[in-house]
Amino acid sequence: MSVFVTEDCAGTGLCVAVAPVIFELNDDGLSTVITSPSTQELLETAKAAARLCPMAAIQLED
Amino acid sequence: MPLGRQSIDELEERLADPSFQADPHATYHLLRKRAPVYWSDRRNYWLVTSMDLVSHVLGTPDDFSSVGFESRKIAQLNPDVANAAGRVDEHFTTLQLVSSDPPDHTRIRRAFGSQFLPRKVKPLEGMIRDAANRLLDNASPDQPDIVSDYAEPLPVEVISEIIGIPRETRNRIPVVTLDQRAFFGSPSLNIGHAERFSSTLEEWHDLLSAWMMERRSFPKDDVLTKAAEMVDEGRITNDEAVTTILHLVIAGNGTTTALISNAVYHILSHPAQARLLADEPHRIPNAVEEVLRFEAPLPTDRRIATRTLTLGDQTISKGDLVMSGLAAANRDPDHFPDPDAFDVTRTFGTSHQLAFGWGIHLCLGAPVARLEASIALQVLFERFGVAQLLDGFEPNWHAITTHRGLRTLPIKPERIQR
Repeated sequence: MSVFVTEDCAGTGLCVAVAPVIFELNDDGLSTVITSPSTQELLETAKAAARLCPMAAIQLED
Repeated sequence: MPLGRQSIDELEERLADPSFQADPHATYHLLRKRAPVYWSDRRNYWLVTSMDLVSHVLGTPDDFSSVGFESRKIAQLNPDVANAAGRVDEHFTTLQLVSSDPPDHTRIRRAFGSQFLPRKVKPLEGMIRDAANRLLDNASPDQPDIVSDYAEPLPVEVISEIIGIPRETRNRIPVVTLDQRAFFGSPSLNIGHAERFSSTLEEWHDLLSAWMMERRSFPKDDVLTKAAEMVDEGRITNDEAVTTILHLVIAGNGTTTALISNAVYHILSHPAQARLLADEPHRIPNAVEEVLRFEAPLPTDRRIATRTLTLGDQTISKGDLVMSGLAAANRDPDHFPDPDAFDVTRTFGTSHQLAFGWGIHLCLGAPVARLEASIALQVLFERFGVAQLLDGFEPNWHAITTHRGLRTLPIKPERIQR
């Protein structure tokens, strides 16, 4: 399963607070995926970040 | 043994006692320890005070809805007052960002989100700095009042610039903020409050609609222009646009005033920390984070349970009002060691404070508020040095049911830099 950030990202930083291993803010202050969640635990964290995102800008795909 | 829907006399008394206004944190600690999900008979809601449970409530909008709180409040009014408040429901509580759930919330948030991108917020720095300097130019040199001279007018200027509110109308912003506070914060709402707020809303509704119309012919780089564009593209309705902008005006105003004055108060109460920040201004953003943690301007946020569910060891019924204790969670010792110590050098690590909320409703204007408070402190140090509180100053707080902020904050500048 892969996780990606859509162009709706507004740089709230919430995903970075929840999952700093997976997300990072780039030079524009927007979120990018730095590590694809490889374990079940990381996947759950990515899902949690997706649920919390105010912009609904995090998507998970098989 | 869970208490269930049963109040504890001692806690009820503490919540009602005037000392709770002066220092709510001792009571929050007691609540968190004895009943982190506490039913208050007197207040008719659940009060949640632990970090984990508050985060859960705010992070689970399917179970804890943001819709309907204001309408319910209006429905509970006596018929005469409700009648006078007729336009409030129509112009303020219908679909907008704060009182909506997904998918409407996501749609409206996306329509406005681009105006608060980091690349839009960063360039505001110069404008904020100029406004802060102008205000200190005009402040009384002997004994400026941080609240009325600085923390109140600065957010009005900043939010007006971002939204595009013309200069001549800005003096009406404090009026609508006070009217809103009186309406939703007053325990004994009367016809006067309701009529006043209703007519102020009517006025703002017309103004904002007219300005959006103007922007269609003469676009600018502001929220009004973006909102008109979003309406024309069919992404939001005109009412959603106007009501959300009005919420931005009000939200961007009172809470930021509280943040700036709370920051100055707590920092000046710790002279060594004040000196450190004046000497090493790069530490100011972390100090702002600590102020947000220590004294959250919005102490609680409301949700309504969408089904009967379990929270902590309690059963919450469908339709119950659930108040998330943002200020209480921020002092949870499981997340912040020595939580009652104010420390501008605190390292937050993986813990995060909840003053701006959490999850999908995380404050839209948070990056602006952080920047604005940081610049306000920086300019204050530059112009007044390390000011002091007046001898024997006793803080006089606003009623905590609306927000947590000081009524006045007179200070003694160390020096005046013109």
